[in-house]
Amino acid sequence: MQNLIEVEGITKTYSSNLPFFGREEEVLKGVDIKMEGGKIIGIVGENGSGKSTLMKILAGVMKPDSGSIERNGRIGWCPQEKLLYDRLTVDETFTLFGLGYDMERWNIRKVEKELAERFGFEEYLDYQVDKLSEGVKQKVNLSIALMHDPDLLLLDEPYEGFDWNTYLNFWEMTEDLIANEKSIVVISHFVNERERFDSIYELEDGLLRKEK
Amino acid sequence: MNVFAFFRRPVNLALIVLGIPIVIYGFYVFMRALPDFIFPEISAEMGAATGTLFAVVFLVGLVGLFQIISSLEADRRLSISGFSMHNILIGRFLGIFIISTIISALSLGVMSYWVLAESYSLAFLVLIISGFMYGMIGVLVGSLVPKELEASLILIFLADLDVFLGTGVLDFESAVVEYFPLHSPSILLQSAVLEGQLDNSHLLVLVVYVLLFLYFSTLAFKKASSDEEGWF
Repeated sequence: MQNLIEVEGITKTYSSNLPFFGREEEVLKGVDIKMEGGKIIGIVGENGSGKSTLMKILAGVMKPDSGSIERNGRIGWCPQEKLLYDRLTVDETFTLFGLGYDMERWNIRKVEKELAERFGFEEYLDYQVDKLSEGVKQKVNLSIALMHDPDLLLLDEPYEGFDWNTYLNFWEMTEDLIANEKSIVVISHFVNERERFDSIYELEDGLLRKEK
Repeated sequence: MNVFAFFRRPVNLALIVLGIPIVIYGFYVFMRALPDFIFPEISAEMGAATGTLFAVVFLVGLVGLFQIISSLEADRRLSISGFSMHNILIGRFLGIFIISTIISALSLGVMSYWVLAESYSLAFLVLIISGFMYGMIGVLVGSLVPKELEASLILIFLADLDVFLGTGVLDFESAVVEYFPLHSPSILLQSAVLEGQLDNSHLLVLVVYVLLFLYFSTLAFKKASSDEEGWF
């Protein structure tokens, strides 16, 4: 079976564009990871260890300084920050991202309704994003990553702000996805319920080390 | 959606409803108060035209600036959904142009309360293009300095200096003054409002400036959207 994502030798250093300003920091020093379908892995690490950086590189919004990435399939990325447009409504947000994913409008509305019912934000569809509570924003943030039925889901602190029922719905959803041969990468400061994960990696000193 | 998002911000509506009339009237009164024997060529009508220009370029400049600063991260996310950053930027430029058109129309309407223009179509054209130019300047500043406070101060300072030099209140001849972005638009708008005509050479200069700022703002946006380290 072809790997959904194959990453080799990824490095990334943060520095300022201006000389003598800021400090240089090497956050990734040669990260390798491969994921096949139907797996769920967790990546843990301390604050500032480079987890979000790695996630952005896997998603394709940031370029590594060196190394190679091969993606085979649709990617869904749920960032830690709620990267949404404040002045658009939830409805408009789904429409915008859905059109980007090349979805038909009827399908956008269908998926939006399903996800809104699953995660409990149906009553907020005509609210502007900046008027939502943090928990509801996170539900929308996650839903945007899911709406196009991605093969590989990259989730950065996905259940921050979730109530208990939504948390349980989230894990129920992941089971459905895994059963359909999708793969999930979850980044977190710490990973509860370790038995849910096929593998757990720790990002430390710029390198990924398998714990489980 | 950019245009809808702009008009949904209460502060933007307040700037349009209150800010435009206050700025235009302020310039009108200021220029009217200048003593004739010291400033024989300055008139209240020129003040109103200058205030109109300032209102348009300032507001559209801020639109360009904040479209970049507040939305760049979300744009990066949108880019992996399928819209290229190229298309996203074109969408932003189009939104800026539409907003420039709307604000130009409103500002010209407000100006008419105090001063009737000899040619509304020419004045409208100059305002739209000048507003769009400053929208590009806003995109450029926002891409180079992605910090709200610092970038808006730079834009405000530039717009203030630029429009003040264009009033002709300070009569000093310097090539530097002629290179400021609003030098030609000031002359064009005043001649459109007071004489009903445009000087083709200044119109050409304005178009060249628009193209230059379009080019540099595109480069700066491309750099900012692909580079998370920043300049500081």
